[in-house]
Amino acid sequence: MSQPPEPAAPRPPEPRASDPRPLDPRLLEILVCPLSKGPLEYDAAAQELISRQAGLAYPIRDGVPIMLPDEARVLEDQP
Amino acid sequence: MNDKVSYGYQWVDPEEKTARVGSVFRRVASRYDLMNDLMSGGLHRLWKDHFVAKVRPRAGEHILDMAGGTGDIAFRMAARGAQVTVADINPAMLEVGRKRAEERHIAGLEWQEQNAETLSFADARFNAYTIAFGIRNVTDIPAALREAHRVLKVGGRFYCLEFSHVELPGLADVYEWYSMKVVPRLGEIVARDREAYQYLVESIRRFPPAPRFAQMIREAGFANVRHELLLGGVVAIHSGWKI
Repeated sequence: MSQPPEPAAPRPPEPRASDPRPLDPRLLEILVCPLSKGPLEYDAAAQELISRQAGLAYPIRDGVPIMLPDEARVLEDQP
Repeated sequence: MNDKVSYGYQWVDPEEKTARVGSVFRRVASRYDLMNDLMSGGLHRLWKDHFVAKVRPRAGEHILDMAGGTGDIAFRMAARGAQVTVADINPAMLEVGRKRAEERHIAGLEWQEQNAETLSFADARFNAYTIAFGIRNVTDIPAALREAHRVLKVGGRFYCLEFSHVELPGLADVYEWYSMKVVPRLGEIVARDREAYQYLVESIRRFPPAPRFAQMIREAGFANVRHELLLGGVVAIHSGWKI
């Protein structure tokens, strides 16, 4: 008797060839914005961690999150 | 002198200290290990071994090693099974550590650029926070201690390894001569950077004596704060608990 196949778990996006160190998803659970201490959104394509509250995007360079406001990009589409 | 902070023996604006300390560690990063061996006669390895033995990392624990860029402490803790996040404000120091981790085939460490004064971790996430030879370079030390307390879980422990002050009369004279005369000269010869090593020895002198630093740890909210002096006070291990 064969069981019906389990639905496949959603797979994380494939890392790109230029992105040898994808961000560990567990990191997102513990990281917050250093300024607002609010949540961060992970933009995998841009390799950025975005703080809407602070209006800043923190870069991830070669798998290393740069969690310093001085190094962050200011979001332009802020109200 | 309002709002000035010590950069070695000079008084500077906080922003300037942060920038100049950043520059020092960028410059010394590639020879940091060699210089530590030369300056301490290899003793820094024993101090770090002893430090990690006191931290007692265990499998399943998540530990934040702040200012741990070159990986010295993180590698030792990972070897005991802990999950270690290595954070450093200085990318050059992190790069040294990541290269060494690759060479030694140590996997599973997380590397992040973080400012100890404004950590980007949610509250109560870590079982332990370690900082070795890092806290005296932080511009706002009380802020860094409060952040350490914030990110620790209840029951979490804080451990700091740092240079301290030699009190024994005979040893104090030898240490004074060695640190003020020999170390900057070693820096000049080996790292070709006398100023960086002049900063290192001056910053050691400026750092508070162990009882006063212990009081700062208490003021950040830690309980059961203790310290142990090694080699007559050349270095001290400070610890405290979040309860």
